[in-house]
Amino acid sequence: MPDPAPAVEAQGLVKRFKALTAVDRLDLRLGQGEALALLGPNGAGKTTLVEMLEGLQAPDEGSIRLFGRSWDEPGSKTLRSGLGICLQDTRLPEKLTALEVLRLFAAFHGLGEDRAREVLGQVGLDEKAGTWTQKLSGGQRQRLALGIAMLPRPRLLLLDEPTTGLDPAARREVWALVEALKREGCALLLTTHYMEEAEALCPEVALMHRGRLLARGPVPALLAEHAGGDRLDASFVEEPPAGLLDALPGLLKRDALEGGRSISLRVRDLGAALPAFVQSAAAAGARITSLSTRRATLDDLFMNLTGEALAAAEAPEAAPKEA
Amino acid sequence: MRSSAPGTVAQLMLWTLRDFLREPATLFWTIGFPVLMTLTLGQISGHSHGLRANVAVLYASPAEQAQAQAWLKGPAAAGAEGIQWKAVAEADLPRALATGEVRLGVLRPWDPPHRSWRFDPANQSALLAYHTLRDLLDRRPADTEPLTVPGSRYVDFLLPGLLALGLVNSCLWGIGWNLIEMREKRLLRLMLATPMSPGAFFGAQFAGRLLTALFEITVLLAFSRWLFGVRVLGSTSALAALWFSGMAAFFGLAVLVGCRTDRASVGQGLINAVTIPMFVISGVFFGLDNFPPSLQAAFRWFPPTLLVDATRTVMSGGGGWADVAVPMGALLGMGTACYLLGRRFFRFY
Repeated sequence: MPDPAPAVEAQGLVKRFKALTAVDRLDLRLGQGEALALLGPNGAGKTTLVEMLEGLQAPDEGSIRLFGRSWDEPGSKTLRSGLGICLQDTRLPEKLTALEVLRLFAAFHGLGEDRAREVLGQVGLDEKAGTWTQKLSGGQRQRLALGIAMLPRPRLLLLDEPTTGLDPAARREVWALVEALKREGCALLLTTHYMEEAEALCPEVALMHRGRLLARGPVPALLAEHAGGDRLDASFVEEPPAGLLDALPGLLKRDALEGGRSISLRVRDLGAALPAFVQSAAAAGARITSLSTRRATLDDLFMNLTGEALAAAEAPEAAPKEA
Repeated sequence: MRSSAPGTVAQLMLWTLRDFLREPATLFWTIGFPVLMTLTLGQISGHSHGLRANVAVLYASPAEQAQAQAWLKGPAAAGAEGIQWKAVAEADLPRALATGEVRLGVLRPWDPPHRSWRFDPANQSALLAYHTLRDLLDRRPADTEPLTVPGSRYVDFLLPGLLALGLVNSCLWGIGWNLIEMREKRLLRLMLATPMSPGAFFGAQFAGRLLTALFEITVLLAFSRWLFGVRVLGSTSALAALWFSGMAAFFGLAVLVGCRTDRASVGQGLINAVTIPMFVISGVFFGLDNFPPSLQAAFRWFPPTLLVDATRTVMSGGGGWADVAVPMGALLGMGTACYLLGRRFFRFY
């Protein structure tokens, strides 16, 4: 039996806005039922990429196939029925009730009242069926927005920062809904600024910067490969003996500070390196005055790959608005 | 495929209607405000007959002041129905005219050979008061015969304009502003990513607003008929078709105005830039004959002016299909052109 066509297969995608190349020769593949988090600073080209996948913008170069079909093919608009889309900070019609909003969007997919009520239950808003959306909490509104995405029983879910601005409890409620959809075999492409969200929902992350994918893989593997290691900083009463670090497992980098009385280390695995370091210092009689550690983060990874901080890096403004 | 199924259109229309009925401010501005305008402005001459004016009896000295006070208590002053007299020092007249306290002044009204009138001849209402009062004070025999015909009152003149402005407001704010707001809230983008057909979306906007406009017009007509006895003297079907054309014209204009911006402040400015001139040059509150002839010819082809004039022709002048055919064609043409242009440049997000 042939492999099923991937949910997303994009090759050599390029999108330019005048002098700005928002997406630059990008390849992306996402199998059916797979989940990928797309991380990158504002202006990295994430939104432009997602809009091209949604068929709202045509690439200048390259090709996109969703479930084996291209947006250029006749009748390709039926692809929309297989997409669930949830945007960051979409303000829903304020004077419609939760159920009326779902009825409205269900009608767009040719679905009826039954499906609207079913989804309302799935997102846990049964009791809010008759409440205007403007009176829902932020978390409830975002669950409703996710409900809109769930209406057509999507095969591919495109979530654009779905939990930005939500409190931790509301965020976890949204995650639970996304997890449920994934269990039903729905492929997921998530853009987010939250590392823990990426890790919680997606086994793989991809880092995007200035229109290109810098790295892709499981978070631990990416961190191990590109983040430059975990960090271990220590200060001593006196300069420690020269051979203190000779047997330290996974030592990647060493910097001496304050005339040698402080050291800053990068190690491959803090879990293995820390006990060995403490043991070695005790054996050598080196008295530690302070010790701090920090696991490598995706921010470290981004910094290591681009020389810029993930949160601070700002490419020129990406997609100018075009319909 | 994009969905343009009846269910899609029906749900989009329901959305429009629910928004209309659930927003008290919308209800006030579309129903309450025109009713209040009709009620207030209808009083200008809706129930009155003859002249109403405040007139100053001027004095230049204490002796004349005493004479003026005595004259004001006499039968000549009391016989001028609708006139509010007041004694004013001659030196104070310019200020009283400028502030609208009085419309004109008269010196020594009791002494015809030495009577003297003071007013701005460019002020038509002062000129009218002057001629009326002069005849009254000179006891000239009446050489006029009152001829009151249906549709000649100010309220008959006003109502068609208010109905037209209601359509302008309903479309430009109800549709144009709505499009801008939906774009700002990213709702248009969310809808575009579904199988919804843009054609169904615009069709539902038009149909939904048509229903609300029908409601507004019915309320205003019923109110005017009940309070002022305003009736449609001409063809009702021609009037309905004319208003449909007007609705189409302003719908097209609304789509054009709301086709690109996603900023509320820009949207407000754009809509005001379109509606305010329309209010001034549409002939709603005063006739176009107040403008120079060269401008009158141009203004007559503005969509609200076409609608207002043709509505007056049918409502007050008893006109029919033949009278509205040209304005209808022009309105439909303008509406279609604006709509196509708006769709050409329309941005969903």
